[in-house]
Amino acid sequence: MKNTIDRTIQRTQRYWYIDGLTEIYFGFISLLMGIYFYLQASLPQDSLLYQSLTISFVLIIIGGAALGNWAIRALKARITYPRTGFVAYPPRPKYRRWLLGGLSFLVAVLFTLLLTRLPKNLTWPPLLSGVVVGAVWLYIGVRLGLTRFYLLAAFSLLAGFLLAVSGLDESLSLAVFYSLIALSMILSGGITFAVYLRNTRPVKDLD
Amino acid sequence: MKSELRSLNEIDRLIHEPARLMIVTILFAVESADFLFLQRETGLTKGNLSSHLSRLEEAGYVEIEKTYNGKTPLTICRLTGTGRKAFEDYRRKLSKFVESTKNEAEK
Repeated sequence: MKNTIDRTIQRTQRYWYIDGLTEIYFGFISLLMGIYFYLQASLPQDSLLYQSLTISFVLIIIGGAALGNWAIRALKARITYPRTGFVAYPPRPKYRRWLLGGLSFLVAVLFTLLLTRLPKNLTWPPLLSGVVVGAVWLYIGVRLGLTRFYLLAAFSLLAGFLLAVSGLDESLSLAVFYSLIALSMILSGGITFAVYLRNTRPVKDLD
Repeated sequence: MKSELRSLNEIDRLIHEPARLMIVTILFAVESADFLFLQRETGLTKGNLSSHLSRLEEAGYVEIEKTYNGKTPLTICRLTGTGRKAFEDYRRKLSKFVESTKNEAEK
């Protein structure tokens, strides 16, 4: 059972997610991924349009994910900090960044290996994606004690499972999966943002 | 049990005060936070918060930086290395005391 000090620390760590902006931003990244997989499913692979859209989307997705922290901070500087104050979190220790990188690489390798070996009666990519995305939400939910992340985790697992048994081909099922994840994140973040704006006002006189 | 009770004397009274404990706990979880965030989280008045921050700054536990966000004045607070260590010591001693009273109660 957490004591008051632990709860205060957890509450302070939770502040990054108070406005829903992180979910909204990564919801849009997820939507781009959905569009990318849809293009993969619908365009002829040898067409110039397919090649150029594929390259540009991959760059947008990678760029968007990499710039996420900077973009979200810029939004918070305009919207959140004037209302409820500024917080800077300590940078992750180097070993954790390496651990995260290593873990992501491992997941990618496992994904690739599993996809070649698993039985073909299920569409595995959305199920595996559902598990990975769900695990990320569950981790954040458990660490910060935020109920909406448990709901996002459950939704991700359910979407992944349903699409795996849907009979859709791989690319189309991933397109639908990431679009559904985008919808859930934008909805969750949007509601959080709306509630946050309703309950707070910019404070002009800060000190 | 007497020795456990007496160990309470060693608790850092500067941090032990409830308002300052809230401030130090919040700053422990972050790299820095501004005055507005601290005020909202602690529920203290501006005057009260300023007074407690001054005491913590005098003791070398907190660093206060007055800067600007555009034209708006901004006060950024952060725990010093001394402050972090003092809070960790405080937490350890308090946990030890609570643990020992639990063990006594279970006997």
